[in-house]
Amino acid sequence: MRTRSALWQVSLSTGETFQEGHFPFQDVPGDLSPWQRLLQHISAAKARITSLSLFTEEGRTWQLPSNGKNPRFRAFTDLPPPLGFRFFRVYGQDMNADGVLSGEADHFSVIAADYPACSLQVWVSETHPDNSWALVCPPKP
Amino acid sequence: MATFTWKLQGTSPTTIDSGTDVVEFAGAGGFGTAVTVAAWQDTSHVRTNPSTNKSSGNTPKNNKFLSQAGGTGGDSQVDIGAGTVDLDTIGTANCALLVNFADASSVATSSAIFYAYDGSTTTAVPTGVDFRCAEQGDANWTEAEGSAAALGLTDQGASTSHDFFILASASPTSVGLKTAFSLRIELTYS
Repeated sequence: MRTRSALWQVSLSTGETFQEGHFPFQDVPGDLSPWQRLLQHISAAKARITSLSLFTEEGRTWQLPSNGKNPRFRAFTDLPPPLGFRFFRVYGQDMNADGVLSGEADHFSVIAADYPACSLQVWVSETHPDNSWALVCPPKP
Repeated sequence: MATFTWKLQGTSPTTIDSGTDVVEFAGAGGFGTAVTVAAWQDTSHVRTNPSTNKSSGNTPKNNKFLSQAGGTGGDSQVDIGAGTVDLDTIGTANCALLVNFADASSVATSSAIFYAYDGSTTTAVPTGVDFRCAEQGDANWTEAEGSAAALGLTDQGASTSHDFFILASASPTSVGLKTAFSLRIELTYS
C-alpha cells in the first residue's frame, strides 16, 4: 500500500539513481525509512548527492538546482552548485476548542539545496500534491 | 503513514481523540470549574465535546505554573499536586501531556516545536490566556505564545515511535471561556 504522495528521487556521484518507493528503497514497516537507508548507502559508497527532486507516481516532478556536470543553460552553469541536499517531511497538528484536528492538511514533503548564504526549499503537500511552495531560508546551521 | 496521538497522562493515559476531544484547564473544583483570572489551572481534564469528562476515571496529571525563576539556581517552579518543586525534577510520568509521533518506518525527528496561538494565525498569541509549557527535563518554562516563541523539543533518533513529554499550564487574563486558544505541534522527520 502506498502511503506517501510526494516521493524523493536522487542521483549520486556514483552514477546511481534511486527513487523512494522503488527497489531497493521501498517503505518497509519497522525498518529504517527509505531516506535513512539511502544515507547509509551514501556513506558506505563514499558517494554524494548530485541532484534531488520530488515526484509523484502520477508524473509530476519538482527539481532543485543540480550538482550535475553538464547543465544545458548558461543560467545554470553561471550559478555556484549547491553545497549539499536534504530531504525531510514536515508534519503539524493542532488542538483547538473543537478538538484535536486532523493533521493531514499540514503534511509536506520537502527537498532542500543548501548554499553558503541560504537554503532553497521546495515544499509539496502530501495531501494535495498539486500545491507546492518554494522557500529561501537562512542557511542550515 | 505518519500520525500524532495526544494523551493526557494519569494513572492511565486518556487519549485526546481527533475531532472530538480537548484538554480542559480547570479550577480546583475539578472538571467544568473555572480558573480565576490571573491564577493558573489547578486541574487538567480531557473533555469530549460538548461536556463529557472523558478522563474522570484516570486521575489526570496537572502541571501548574508557580514561578519562572524562583527555584534552585533560577529554576522554574511547578506544582503537580504535592506542593512546590523545581521544574526539572519532574519525570516523564508526571508530565500532563504526551504527544506521540509514529510512522510505519523508523524515522528520525528534528526541529520539533510546541506552542499556543489564537487558532487562526500561528504567529498570533492566544486571546485572553497566558500560557507556559516545558519539555520534560527543562529547567525553565517557555512562554510559548505564537510560533516565534515556540518551545523547542529535543531531536530524536530513528524509531517508529517518538514520545514528547510536555508540561503545560494556562491562566486566563479575562473572564469567560477561551476559544481563541489552540495548541500546535510541528516537526520534521525523514
